This record gives sequence, C-alpha cells and structure tokens, in this order.
Amino acid sequence: MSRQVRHAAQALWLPVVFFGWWWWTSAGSTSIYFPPLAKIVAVTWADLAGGPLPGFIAFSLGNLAAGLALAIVVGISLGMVLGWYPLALRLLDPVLQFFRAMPKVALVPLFIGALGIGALPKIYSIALGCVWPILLNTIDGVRGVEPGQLEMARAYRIPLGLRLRRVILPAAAPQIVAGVRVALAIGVVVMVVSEIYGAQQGVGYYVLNASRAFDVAQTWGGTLLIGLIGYVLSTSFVIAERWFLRWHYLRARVLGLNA
Amino acid sequence: MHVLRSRAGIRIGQLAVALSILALWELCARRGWVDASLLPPPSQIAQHVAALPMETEFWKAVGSTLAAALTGLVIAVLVGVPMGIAIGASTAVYRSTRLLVDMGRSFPVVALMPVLVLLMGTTPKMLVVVATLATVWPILLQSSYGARSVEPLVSDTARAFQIPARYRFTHVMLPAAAPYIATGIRIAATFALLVTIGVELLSATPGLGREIAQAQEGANFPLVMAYVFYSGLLGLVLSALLVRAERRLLAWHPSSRVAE
Amino acid sequence: MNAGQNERSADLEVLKPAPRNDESVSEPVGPHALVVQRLGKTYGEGAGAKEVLRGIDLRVDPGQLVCIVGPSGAGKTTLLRCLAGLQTSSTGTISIGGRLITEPPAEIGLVFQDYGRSLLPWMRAIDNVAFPLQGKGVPAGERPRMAQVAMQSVGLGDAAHRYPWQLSGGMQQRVAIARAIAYQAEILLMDEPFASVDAQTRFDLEDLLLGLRRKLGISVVVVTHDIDEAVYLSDSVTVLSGTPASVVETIDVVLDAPREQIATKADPRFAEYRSRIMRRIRRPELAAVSKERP
Repeated sequence: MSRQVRHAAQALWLPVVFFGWWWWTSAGSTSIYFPPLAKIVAVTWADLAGGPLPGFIAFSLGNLAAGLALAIVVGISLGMVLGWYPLALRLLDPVLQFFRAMPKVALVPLFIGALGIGALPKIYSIALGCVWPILLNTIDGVRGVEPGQLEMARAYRIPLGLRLRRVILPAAAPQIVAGVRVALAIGVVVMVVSEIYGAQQGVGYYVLNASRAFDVAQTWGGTLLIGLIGYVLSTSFVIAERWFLRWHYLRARVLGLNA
Repeated sequence: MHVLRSRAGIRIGQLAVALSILALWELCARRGWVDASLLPPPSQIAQHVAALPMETEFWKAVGSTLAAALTGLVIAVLVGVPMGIAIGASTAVYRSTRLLVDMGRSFPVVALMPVLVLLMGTTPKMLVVVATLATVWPILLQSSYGARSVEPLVSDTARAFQIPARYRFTHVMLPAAAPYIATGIRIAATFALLVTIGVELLSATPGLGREIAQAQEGANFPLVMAYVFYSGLLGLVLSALLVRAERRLLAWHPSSRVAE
Repeated sequence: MNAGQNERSADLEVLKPAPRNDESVSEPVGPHALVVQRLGKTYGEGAGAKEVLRGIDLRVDPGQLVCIVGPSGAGKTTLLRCLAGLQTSSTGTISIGGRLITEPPAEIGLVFQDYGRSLLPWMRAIDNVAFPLQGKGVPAGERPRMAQVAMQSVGLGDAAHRYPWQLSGGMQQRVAIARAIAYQAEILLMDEPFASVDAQTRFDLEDLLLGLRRKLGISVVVVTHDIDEAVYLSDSVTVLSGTPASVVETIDVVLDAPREQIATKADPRFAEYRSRIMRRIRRPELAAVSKERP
C-alpha cells in the first residue's frame, strides 16, 4: 500500500465507522427524538434539491461573508494604526480589553431589535463579533515586525505607503490570518445565533422552524447541515491560508531544518 | 508628552480616553444622532448598572449562568484532558481521530440548541450539555498539543524504566501538557460563558441570557446594555481568576518563569 | 563562485552612482566626501547618562575604503548608525559634500550585519534588491533590469528568483550588497558584514567588495572587529577604543593594489599594520600624538 493510500485509510476509517454505526443502529428507530440517520439525510436532501435550503444557505453565507469582510477592513485598518502608535494603543487598552471580554452574542438582540430581522443587523452583528480577534491580532502582528526590516526600510528611505504595503502588512500577515481564522469560527456562531433569534431566512431559521414544527428529522438535518457548513468553511480556510502564506510555511520548514 | 510616559500618566490618559468616549456617546444618544434602541445613553445604562446588584433576580441569573458554564467546563476537562492526551500521545490515534475532531471543533454548538431543546427542554441540564459540548474541543485540542510536546527523550526514559502506563500518564504526560491544558481551560472558560449566555438568550432558559432577551422584549434598552455590561464583567473576572490560578499552580513550570 | 565570472562590466555602468548636481551641496557635483567632525553620542540624561562616543573625526574621500576597528561594544555600530542617519548624534556634525545629515541620506546604502533580519522573506531575492528602487521612484520597467545587473555583479545572477531563506548565509549577504549597489549609493556603509559567514566565504566576499569598489568608484566604510580584514580591505583604518569610544589613531594603509588574499597577506607590511592596530586597540594611551587628518 502506498504511503498516500495508507494515510488516507488511517484518516478515514474511524469517521466511516462512526457514521456507519450511526446509520445502522438508528435504521429501525421508532424513537421520536432519534430518527434514523437515513431519514434525516433524506429529508435534508429533499429540502436541498427542491426546497428552500439553497436560498437559505446563500443568505446565511452571504451575510457571513459581508460581516467578515467588514470586520477585516475595519480590524486591519484600526489594528495597523494602533499597532504603529503604541501610545494610542496603551490609552485605548482598557476599552479594548472590555469589549474583547464582552460576549458579543449578547448584542444580537439589540441589533435585531433596533434594525429588524433583515440581513443588515445580522451583518453588523457578525462584523462586531469578528472584528476583535482580527483587530487584536493585527496589532500584535504590526508590533511584532522585525526591527531589522523596519530599519532597513528607514535606511533606504522607503516612503510610508510603500512601507505599510510591502513591509508591515506582509510581516504581520501570518498573525492577521490567524485572527481571521478565529473570526471565521466566531462569525459562524453569531450568524446562527442571529438567525435563530430573529429571521425569516437562513439555515438557523430553517432549524428553528423545524424545531417549532416538531419535525425532529428536519431539525437534526438542519443542525448537521450547519455543522457541515462550519467544517467546510474551516477546512477551506486552512487550505487557502496554506496557499496565501506559502512563503511563510515553506520558510518555517526550511528554517526548522537548518535552525 | 513626557507626562504621558509615567505609569500614573498612562492611567490618567486611559481614564480620560474612556470618559471622553462615554461623554461622546452620551451626547450622540441625547441628541438623537444615534438610535437610542441600539446605543442608549450611558447615563441611563449606569442607573441600571447600579441598581441591578440590589436585585435578587440579578444574582439568581448570574448564579444560573455561572453554574451551567462552570459545570460544563468541569465535565469538559474531565472528558477532554484524558482523551486529548491519548490522542496526542499516539500518532496512530491522532491520525485516526483527526477528521472527527476537526468536524467536532468547527461545529457551531449553538446550532444544536433547537435539537437539545426538543430533547431536554429549556432546563439547566440542557445548558450544561451545551456548555460541555462547546468547551470540550479547545480543551481536547490543547491537551493533545501538550501530549505531543513531551520530549521524546523523557517518554523514552520512562518506558525504558518500565514505568506503568498509568503512572506515565500522571507523572510524565500530564505535567508536560499542563501549560497547554491551562491555556485550553482559559480559552474554554470564556467560550463556555459566551455559549451559555447565547443559548439562554435564544431559548429563554433561566440565566443572564434570558434576562437580556426579556429586557429586549420589554424594550428596556438601557437594561439590556446593563446586562451586557455585567456579562462582560463576568467574563473578565473569570478570565483573571483563571490566570491567577494558572500562575500559582504552574509556578514550577519553566514557561511561567517569564520576567514580567 | 568567482564574482568576476558573472560580471558584465558594460552593464554595470548602469549602476554607477550618477553624479548629482545638487545645489544644496557645497561641492557641486558628486561623488561627495563623507566628513565627520567632533561627533559625540550620549544616551540618557543626568546621572544615568552614558557617553558612548566622543570627539570622532573621520573623513572618507570618494572612492576610498575606510575600516573602523575596535573592541566589541566600543560604539562602532553606534557610529555607523549615526552615519546612516538612523540615529542622531548628540554633538558634532556629519556631512556629505558639505550638506549636513539629519536623516537617512539618499547617497548611502547600508548593509546590516544581520542579513537574515533585513531581507524580506516574502519577496524573492531580486524583488528584495529592487525594493529600494521602488521606494526611490524608479519606473517599474527599469527596476528588474537594474536589480538583475546588481545581482550579477555579486555573482548571484542565477539566484534571482529564489527566496532569501533558500540561500546560504554568504549568498544572503551578497543579496544585501546587491541591494545597496542597485540603489546607486555613493557610499556603502557596512556593519560587520562578513562576521556571520564562514572563513572561506568571507574571503570571497572581501574580494567581491574590493572589485565592486573599483568598478563603481564608490566609497565604502566597513565596521569590523577583524583586524586582518581591516588591513586587507582598507585604504585607511580608524581605530576606536576606550570608553567613551574615541579615535585612537587613523592609519593609512599602503599596500600593493589590487589586493590579493595570499600575496597581500604575505607582505611583511601587512603584519606590521596588523600589530600596530592591535597595540592601539589594547593600549589606547600609546596612540600617536596627531589624531587629526588633513
């Protein structure tokens, strides 16, 4: 068996066994609360193929993307300013710490209460939840830029704009991307919360609706679908990160060997 | 500018900044430049902030939330640490469980709320389940990182001396993984609080989250913000306590002997 | 790899520092001399103040190679940083062509000791070399060409598209040198540039430096703790010693040119210069009476 196949087998056997076991043991289930996995899949598939789910998924993911994009723009800009001017950072520190500790989900009712159950309050809620890890990581990233690199830029009289774009930002990129990764996970949570709290569309709404109608299979199905979405987003992000920061990972490997 | 360099100067500066932000906020809310249902004036919020600790309802809610979050955290530690270490200790186990762990950790536990409400109702037990499910992942992951960080030399030595597996666990792996586990617990604690409040909010289970939702329904926006304030405060306090405990318990570990 | 093999002298003309017709300058047309007068540097104030440099006089004429030597911690790096405009001096003046230096001047190219920390790991070698050109406003079409010529002149013509961390220490330092060359600096300032590479590579880099100086007509100031290197490279050696550091002696090095690793070092005068410098470093009070140079 080639190494690749062996590794794939190692990675896949347990999940396959797990889902297989679930499928098999629940096959003839008559319990209200634990319907057969086969039925869950069937119901969800039906809603995907001909039902409202694709639209809902698009709504949810669209809001997530918009909120995350907003958080990235605000977080990186503000983070670069605060990272560059330590005095400003220290003065704002208590305020930042407080907002960081605040459970942002608690603000969802306020947003929805004030702005309604459309897309916009959800986007703002998501953005508010996502901005903190991005902001804090950007600050750390900017402050962690190698002094030697900054000095070189000074010695060669590189103008500030160019310095920001091609020295500071790339240097901080690994930290910033790590922040975005955390923000993505938070964004998914806020997205679901906002849709369960007040919505007329979206995957969270789909699950809530199903539970209110006591359609247990549909509720399970929606829940698993959300889990699947979370997993796909998370994995895709890691893959994208590996490509985007390939210089960083390649370098770490080389230096790891030589160090 | 030199004034600002001193320690006291910075504190004053921070206070000044915080107060000016509050003042600006007050102004905007009063003048109606900002929607008062989104950002009520700090003065009104302050009234509630002062009044809440006098009410037993408030402390009951805090107690419920804290109890559920902490219980969930404790269970997550009891389950997550041994599992995490087992996963980290063996490459074969790590590889086998990787996919499932990834799926589990990227699962937004809040999405389980409707199912759990169907199964268990809006009870504290349901909250504990949610909190456990949410917090077990960071703890498990951090424990596995900790186990993987054990110097091969140390574990080889232990095995060479034929130290039985359970002693290897408690005396070699656990201490080595301790700082990682501590970090995991810290992350998990704030997360537990967040998830607990989130689920209370959505399902009207007793706790701080439900108070927020009810205040919102009653259109008492300053009260909502006051509760949000206390939620944040709770998170800060919990975090600070954990950091203190970590420092005390892990004083023996080289990584905590960092010059401050 | 012999630096000479990949050189194309005709192309190198592109990188010769262009004579600047600068009205703010007393000597109208470059290249200009670097003149340091009574330079002093003190850190801190009051009781805790630390005087690091005192009364430094130094002159580097166009096309000259000057080495600054002294014991570790003597303040050589501080001096170089002041020359580079990265630090302000407490007393005294630094001028290039009569113009006082208060911030990093355009005429200077700096080669740091720690090349690993000054080369940007997210850019390929050739982009690193071209980066200061971008900062200078050189049009995008010309930058790759100039960068490529610079890399060829240091013998790295084939390594242009590698990342710095894929290159050895010696090669990385060459990239740093190429970067300063591409920048068309009139004066190269180098801070212990060859300290972190192995001996054989060091000899290659020393010869590379001498070759570049000859072909481009630039001035070079090298800070080094290696006395052999100082004697081998220099037209003049400035010896720094004591606390606070001051110029103990300035020694003109008269040896056959072009220098050659074996022949020059076998010359008896080489050993004389070396011992003279060592003595000055160890017993600064035995310095020659006249410290000033005309």
